[in-house]
Order: sequence, then C-alpha cells, then structure tokens
Amino acid sequence: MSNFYYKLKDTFFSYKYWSLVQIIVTKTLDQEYGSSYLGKLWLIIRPFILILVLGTVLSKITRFPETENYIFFLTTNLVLWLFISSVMTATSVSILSRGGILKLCPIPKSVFIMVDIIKFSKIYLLSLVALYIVVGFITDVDFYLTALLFPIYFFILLFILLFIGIILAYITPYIRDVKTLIEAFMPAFMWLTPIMYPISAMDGTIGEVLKFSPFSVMMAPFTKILYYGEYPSAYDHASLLILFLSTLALALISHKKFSKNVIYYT
Amino acid sequence: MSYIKINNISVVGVDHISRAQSVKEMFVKKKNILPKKISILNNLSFEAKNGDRVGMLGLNGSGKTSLLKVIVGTYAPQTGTTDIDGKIVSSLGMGAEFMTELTGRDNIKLAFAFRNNISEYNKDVEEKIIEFSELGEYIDKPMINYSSGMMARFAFSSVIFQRADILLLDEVFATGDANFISKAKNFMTKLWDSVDIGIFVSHDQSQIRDICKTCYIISEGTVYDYGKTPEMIDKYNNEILSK
Repeated sequence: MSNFYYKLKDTFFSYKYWSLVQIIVTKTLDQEYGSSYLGKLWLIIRPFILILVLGTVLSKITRFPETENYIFFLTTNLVLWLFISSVMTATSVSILSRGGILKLCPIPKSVFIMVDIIKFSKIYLLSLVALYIVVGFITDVDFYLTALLFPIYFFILLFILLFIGIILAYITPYIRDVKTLIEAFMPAFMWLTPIMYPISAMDGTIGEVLKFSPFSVMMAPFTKILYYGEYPSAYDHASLLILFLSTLALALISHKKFSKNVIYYT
Repeated sequence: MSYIKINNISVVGVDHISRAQSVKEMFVKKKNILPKKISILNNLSFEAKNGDRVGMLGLNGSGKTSLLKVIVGTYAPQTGTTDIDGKIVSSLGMGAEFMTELTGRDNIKLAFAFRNNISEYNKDVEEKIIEFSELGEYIDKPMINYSSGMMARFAFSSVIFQRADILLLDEVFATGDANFISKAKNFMTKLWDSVDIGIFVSHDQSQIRDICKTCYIISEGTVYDYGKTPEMIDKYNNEILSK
C-alpha cells in the first residue's frame, strides 16, 4: 500500500512543491491580467460576451423546453467547458514549453501540469461566481441546495483533468501536433457535448452515443446540481468512476513509459 | 555527511534535427518518429565526499554540464546508478526561471521556490540579494527593463544566498562587469570554503588550479582521467587541447 502511495506521489505531485505552484500561479495571473486596464475583470467580460451572443442567437433559433433560463443554462455549461478545454490545451504543452527550465532546475515535471490546472481552476471559479451574480441580476435564477455538492464534483473533476494533463503533457514532446489536434477538435467536441443544448434534445442513437462521451460524463453532474437542482444519477457516478479509473491508469502508464526520457525530447 | 556516488551511468539524448516533430514531417518529409539517439554520457563514474573540491575540465560538448544535470537530478541516466546525499545548490539555470514581466523582487521569491528553498526566503535575505546585486530601485521594476549586466548580477545574487551542502558552479563568472566579478569571486570563495562538496566547471584553468584540489577530465561523455589538479591540467593541455 505504501509503495503504491509513493508511486502515486512520484507520478502526480508532492506536497512540498505546493508553494512553488502557488507562487507561479499567482505571479502568472498577475502578469497576464495585472498590466491591462480592466485587469481581472476580463475573467468575466470574456465568457460573458460569448454567453450573451450565443444565448441571444441560439434562443432565437431554437427552443428547449427544459431550459427556460437559457442564459443561466449556458453560463453553467459554457464556463465549465472553457475551463476543461483550456486545461487540456495548456497541459498538453506543460512539459514541452518548460523544457528549458526542467533541464536546469530540479523540480518534478508535474509541477507545471499542476500550475496550469490550478491557474485555470482559479479563473473558472472566479468567472463562475461573478457571472452567476451578473446573470442573477438580469434573469430569474433559481439556486438549489444541490449546488452545495459542487466542491465534491469539482474535486473529482480536478483529478480527472490532472490525469488527462499528465497523459497529454508526456505525449506532446514525442508528437508535437497534439496541442494543435486538441485545438482543432475541441470546437467540434463543444457541439458534440450537451453544452448549448440539454442531452434530452438529442434523442435516438446520437443521444446515447453522446452520453458516453468523456466530456458529457465530466459535465453532467455540474449541469444537474447547478442548473436542474437534481442529484446526479447512479449512471452519472458509475461513468465518472470509470472515467476516473481509466484516466488514472493511462496517466500511470504514461508516467512509467515516458517520464525518464521525456526531458530529452523537449 | 554529504556524498555523491555515480556509478557507470549512461545518458542517451535525442537528435532533434533528424526526428519527425509532427505528423506532417512524418508523412511529407519521411522523417522517422523514432529519433536517432545521441550518446551524451557513456559509462561514466564519479565520486565526491565531504571536503572535496573538484574541478572539471573538458572541451565544449564533452559532457561536463550534462554530468552536473545528472547530479542535480534533471537528467535521469538510462543505465547505471546515482546515490547522492546533501542539499544541492547549482548555478545551472541561473536566471532560467525568471519571469521577466515581473519585478526583480518577485523573481527573488521564484528563484528560491524553483530550488525548493522557499522556507529559506525572508525579507532579510531579500535585502541581502538586492544589496549584493546592486540593483537599487530597479529591483521593483519589471526585469524586462534590465540590461544584460544587471540580469547577470541579479541571477548570480539570487542563487548564492541559498543554503547548500553541495555547490555546483558552471562557468559562473562568465558574465557581469569587472567590479562585480571581483566582488562575486570574493563571496564565492567564502561560500566555496563553507560547503561540504564543491564542483567547479570552467575553461579557466587558473581558477581551477586556485580552488580545486582534484580534477576530472571529461572527454566524449566519459571520464578521461582524474587526479590532482596540476597533473590533470597538464594532461588536459597535452592530450586533449593539443589534439
């Protein structure tokens, strides 16, 4: 058991580097937003413009009976999607883009994967809270008690994203197109994931297939607890568990196979 | 009690030019996704114990810096064993961690954090670094505005105030103005005397002769010879440099 624990710690993260992660995240956010006139307000403005435009256009051309407050529905899903998509894009080059530093400073490679995940988590949480306040002012928003479960599902999501990040970060130095492939396919997956529409809008085979998409699995609990005020179903939990275990297994395999030599490929 | 025991290690790197770095290069330029391997270090053994002051001589590309990277832990050897005890501070990567959009003061914290020494960071040590680097009010300006001399002074200062058992210096006095180099040398001499193990990589033979008792000659990724410094310097000049 203890061997397995040390293996996990070696693969993923050691707590002693937490202060380094915090410092880099804080300084990076200061650097990115500190020098602009509107500063961290951009965290709200950017997704809000997208939500406003998509909400206005899509609510005119289609009607989903289950999504009465479409802007609220879109805010819940789209901000989460932007978070997942940003983490995947950023972590794919976490090791490659920091190869210079990793060759010289004795820090674990997972530090930069954690940096990217924590950075976008902060952005996501700030944006979500601020946008809910704004959307709450302009529309009738019902907040449910089920929203209190948010930290639990968010914690699980962070782990899944960490595992995915490790897989992508280790593969990209070997195949440099991974980041571009992610950037190319994520917009397609955005429409193949129930973000702009409820899953019930896709009936038949397509609906069944979409339910199995890893992105749908990641997002479903959040839509339910935040928008619908429902508890995630046994199916949701089983799917999350399968996704968690399969990404964990792949992350461990990637680490075992690539961690020793990946530095020479950066 | 610090020590370094490196036994028969080999480090194999990658020829980035020959390998396909993308799907396009794989299909259009017919490059192989499996790259050509380059031997960086080859069956190299190295040992140092408390009190050792070791110099390293070798031509460019001979493997001196790669050996330091193995000692620091950033290069993992494919074969052989490494056993190292002691807190390492290295001049490798001096300044590589800096975020130049941030101020020098912010970057002092980063320099400590990147060497896993954040517990040693405090306002006193920050002031010492600012004073030693002679940056004055520039310390609160973004580093992007620093001259190369200021950058070199700051990079050096941000490392030397960190506690070390094993000190690794790689061409550390190559940059900076004459006054600073002189001050840095004096400081470094004291630091050099205070650590358990010191390893010094340089092309400056007189410096190596002054501060290192023993010396390794590294050639083509392996140890060519090692022994007392004066003998090794003569051997290096006669057998390696004169080739």
